Amino acid sequence: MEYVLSIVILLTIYLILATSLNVVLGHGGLLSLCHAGFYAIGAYAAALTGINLGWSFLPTAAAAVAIAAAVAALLALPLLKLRGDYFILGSLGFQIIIIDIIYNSDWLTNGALGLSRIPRPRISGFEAISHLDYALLYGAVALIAIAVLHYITTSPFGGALNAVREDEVAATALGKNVRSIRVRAFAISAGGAGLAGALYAHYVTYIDPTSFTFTESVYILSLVIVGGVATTRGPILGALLLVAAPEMLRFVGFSSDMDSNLRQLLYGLLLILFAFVRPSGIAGRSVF
Amino acid sequence: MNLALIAQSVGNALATGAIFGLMGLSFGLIYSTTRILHFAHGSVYVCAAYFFYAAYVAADWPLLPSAIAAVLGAGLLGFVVMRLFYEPMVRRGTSGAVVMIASLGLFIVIENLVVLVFGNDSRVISKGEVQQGLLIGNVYVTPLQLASFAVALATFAIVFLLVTRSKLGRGLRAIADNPAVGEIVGIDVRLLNYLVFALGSMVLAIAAVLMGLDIGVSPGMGLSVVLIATIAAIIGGANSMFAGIAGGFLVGAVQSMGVLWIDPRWQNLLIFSALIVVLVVRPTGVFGTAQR
Amino acid sequence: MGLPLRVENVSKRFGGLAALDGVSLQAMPGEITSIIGQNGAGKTTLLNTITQLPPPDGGQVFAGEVELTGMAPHKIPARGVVRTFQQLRIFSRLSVLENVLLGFQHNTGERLWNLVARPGAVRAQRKDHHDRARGILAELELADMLDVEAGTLSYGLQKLLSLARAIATDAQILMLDEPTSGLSGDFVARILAIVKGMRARGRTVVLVEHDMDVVFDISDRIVVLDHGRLFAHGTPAEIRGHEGVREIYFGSRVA
Repeated sequence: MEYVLSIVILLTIYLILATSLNVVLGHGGLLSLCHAGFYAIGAYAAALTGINLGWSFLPTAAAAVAIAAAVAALLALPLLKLRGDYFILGSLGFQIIIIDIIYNSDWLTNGALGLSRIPRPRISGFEAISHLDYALLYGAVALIAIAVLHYITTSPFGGALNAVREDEVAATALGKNVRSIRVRAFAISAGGAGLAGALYAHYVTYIDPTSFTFTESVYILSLVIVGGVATTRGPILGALLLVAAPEMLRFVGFSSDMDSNLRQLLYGLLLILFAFVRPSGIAGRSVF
Repeated sequence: MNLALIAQSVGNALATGAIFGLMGLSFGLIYSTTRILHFAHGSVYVCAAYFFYAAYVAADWPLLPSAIAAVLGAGLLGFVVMRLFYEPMVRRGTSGAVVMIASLGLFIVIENLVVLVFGNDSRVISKGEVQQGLLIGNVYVTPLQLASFAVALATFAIVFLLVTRSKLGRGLRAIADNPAVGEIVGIDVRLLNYLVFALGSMVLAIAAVLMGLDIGVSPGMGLSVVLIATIAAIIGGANSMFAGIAGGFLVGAVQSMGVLWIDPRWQNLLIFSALIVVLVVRPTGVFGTAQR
Repeated sequence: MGLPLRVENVSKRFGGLAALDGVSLQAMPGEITSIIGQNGAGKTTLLNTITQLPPPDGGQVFAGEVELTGMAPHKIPARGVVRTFQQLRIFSRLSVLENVLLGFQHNTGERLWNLVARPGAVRAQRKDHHDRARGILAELELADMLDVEAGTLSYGLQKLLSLARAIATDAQILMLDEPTSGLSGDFVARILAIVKGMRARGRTVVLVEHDMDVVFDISDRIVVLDHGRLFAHGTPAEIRGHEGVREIYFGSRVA
């Protein structure tokens, strides 16, 4: 039971990561490879405000969202000048720069050693201790986050974002401020990743930079690509399939040593399969 | 700061730059002609290094045949990747972003296959011969560094002659300028694409052999290699086949000379910031010319 | 109510080539002003520079009293100036309804703050936009295709859709780039009826058109461009009688 709940908790985090990446990737049409960087920023923001300032869950989560979104808005200034392959490479560059800065800023982040004793989530009288507490709290947070992102992407703002993806010139000629729309979408998406980071930090109570590398960005990307882009149900389906399903492999009896390699092999194959057969994913719109 | 230290750094920069130049050239050849963001290039490197390990250490072949086997193996791999992997997508008009996603998938698959076959540990590629370093002026160099530099220069020269003098090279330059025109003039673009993947992979394999002899190989090396290759090619000039060489030396210089002034742990930051500055400010690259 | 368009001495160079060289013209509300000229005469470049995408190198453009030159291109439609494209540029993977909805200006729900602070106002405006979009599409006989992906429509229907999108902007000055090219008689008639409808509602209509029968049939004023310069302007009758235009533009053809 504990084990199933731990998977549920992990799933809530990846649901938020996949849904938030979908804002730029699906609705915005921008292949960003730095989502794990914003995930890291959120995790560290929540951990640091929790450890050093003794903040409870809601303020640390808010700080995580705000800081990740602010950094994203800043990075968007140079990044959104780039198109196509260059945008992909630029976002990859920022992924590595973010993790490098976290890795080397010992004074703040404790570098490679990471931060430990991150407080468990507290909301006034309630403190999450058991797996069930976590699953309920995080389940609620994920539900709210997905609902908010759904509201935004189906709003007129979301419509404009989709239009910008389809044709920048036509969108401009209809009065849409292409740059501003993209910057805001990028910040919203990063804010979601920041929230997921806060959940992660308060759950594992110990974080170090290795959880947020480029590989993690690609993993989140694969959730959205497999599930489907530019719809709300796509990333949800992708997270369910790729986070929960491989856990079942354990029951079939693969050794824990090979486990992570086989799992990676699986999602690499899925990425290839979907790129070849169905780039819009299982339940996505055709975007690329 | 003393002069000897600077001279030593220049020496190191040239040695590293030569290897990075090979990587940059290998990526630039492929990217400038096919415009495929070939992320799995990193896997080709890892495979080449393990081919070399298998021949030289496991099968105990002599050095030169082992190296040749690794280079040919990588060439074949590059050819196959273009023929069976990218071409079906390109022919269907798959967008660049999706091709890139597939390439990431291939990269992950190969990396993990290598782990399953060879294990996760790094391997030393050496037969225990002790190499005496030598002093040239004030600069300490190893024979391997000298040999690497010479091999790299020879490779640059051969590829340059191949591309500028041969019929193959003229075709490559034509499609690098404009694939559609190449098609019209009756160049077999498909065949050229296979060949340029094979050629780029062989150039990369040379880097894999040289670096393998120096620091060995592990399955996880592919990522840093493809990043250096890409950065060298883009900083050099994405439209040019050869600017990647210059880009490689530039990255090598930043990495080796940077130590003199900057804490080495910030090197990555410096190099990736340079990439973004180049992308934003001068997308044609430091040494590239504007075209298309 | 109506908004005149005034172009003064506008120039645009591409490299060494002068695409527009000191062009001035005026288009009045309730009139159709057609711009004609051979390929490369600068017709589309003129529409581009009026909407500041890209802006002209020299000269000024006014919508009523408001100067458009120097304005960010995305701010032009809110000033009542909208153009269509010869290549249509519809949002091909969005639905027909979504395409039209994107035409509406001053959209409350495009501001994130309003989504949070004034969800009621956003919802109300959204409903209003949906109703108006359905109305426009019904008028254009596209009502039964609301949810169809726009890119799958036939070429003629896509052209109608691009007009529907322009109508949704409620712009006073509408500039249409080749709205009938490549269409058969039935669609041409439908589209010309829409263009005349715009004029009847007091809009300032600027038409770039290559079909001379259409131009002389529908226009109130005609402007002739030649190699980036204003060559002649006047009523259809005046242009028909213009010696130079006949010689240069029509060649041997008798208009």
